[in-house]
Amino acid sequence: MLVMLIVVMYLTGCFQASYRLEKLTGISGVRLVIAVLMAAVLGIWLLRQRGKTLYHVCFSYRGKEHELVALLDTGNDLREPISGKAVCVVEESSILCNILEEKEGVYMIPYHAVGTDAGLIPAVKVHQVKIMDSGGAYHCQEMLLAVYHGRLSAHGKYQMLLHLDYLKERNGLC
Amino acid sequence: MLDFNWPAKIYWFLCKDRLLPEDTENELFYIGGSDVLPPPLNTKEENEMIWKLENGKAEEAKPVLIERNLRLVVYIAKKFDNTGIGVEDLVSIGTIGLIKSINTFRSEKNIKLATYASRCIENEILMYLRRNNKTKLEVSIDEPLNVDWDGNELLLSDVLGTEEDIIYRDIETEVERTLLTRAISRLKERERTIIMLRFGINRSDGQEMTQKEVAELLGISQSYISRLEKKIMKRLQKEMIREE
Repeated sequence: MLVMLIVVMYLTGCFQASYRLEKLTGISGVRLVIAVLMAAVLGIWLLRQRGKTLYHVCFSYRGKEHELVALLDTGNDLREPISGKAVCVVEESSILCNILEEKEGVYMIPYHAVGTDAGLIPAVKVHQVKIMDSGGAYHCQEMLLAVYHGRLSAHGKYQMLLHLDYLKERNGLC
Repeated sequence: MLDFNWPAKIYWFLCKDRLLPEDTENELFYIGGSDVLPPPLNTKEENEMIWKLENGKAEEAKPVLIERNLRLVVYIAKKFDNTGIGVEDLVSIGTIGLIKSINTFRSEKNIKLATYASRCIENEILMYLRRNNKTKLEVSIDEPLNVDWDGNELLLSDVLGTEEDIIYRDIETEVERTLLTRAISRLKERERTIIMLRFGINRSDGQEMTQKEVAELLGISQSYISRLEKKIMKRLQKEMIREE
């Protein structure tokens, strides 16, 4: 509802502005041009809103820096069973992680999903996490990453699923 | 990049950081959490898995053996929860121990998997605690002590202080050095030799000679050297003050 109100006010404002500008400059085409430009800006902004946000995530794992694209998946409620800490998911190939040779700690995360009643997925802890979107960055000391042995995005658009908890400030996680 | 015409290119460029509905092809990611760890294997299942482990089907057996012995890891890890380390971190270390035990288990050693695994799990946790205790007291100068929400880091090197006059002290030393070198160069040859030998100047090892050694070298008595030295020092002092 609020969005509709804002859109209406925006368009009205555009018309007013273009009308005044036309009067000021005395050129008859100006109004149409301005109106079209402003409508275009609005149109692009609306189109962008349709998509789900992708984030750039940087973290340090086993001393190496990694930078990946992550999708915020609100359907992800994975948690480490003892601490209740939220868990994100990452493609195994993106961080070159072999659980059987892991040295620093493997967290086994139970889950259930469509097609799997009782599954367990191994997770590792990564550090110095930075999550960036077009607005800014969130910082986190540690994050749990469940290692998925397949591909998350068939088109390779993202390699990680982000958990909503990591975007909330002062949630005790970071 | 994709081989589109330019309107499509603009569209793609503007929507680049978005995952649009037409990109997702039925990628269902509902993943719910769960609290319970899987139950242990019964004897028959365990024997079957161990057989697979040692007869070419290890890749199939290992995940099952790991998953079905996690409750053992939790049981052992809980014994250490008074050490100040979170239980979940202890369990994660214990899981490494469990994985190692499964990687190295030999049924011909006549030991039950649970017994062998328990030892490996406990061992791994103890090693971790020892490592942790050693490094707990050490903090790296460059490692952030704290990170606030904007990502500003507090480094130890920011907090460590220096004395305020440290720059000036070095400059004063430099100046004094110059004055001294100049003053020494103005001494008579014998006086200069004595000073350089007594204070190890111009020697690669900086070795200073005693008055007796210098006396022997120059063929004069040690007491004379002592008197000369006193005179030279006074002269040098006067020279340096004069220069200033």
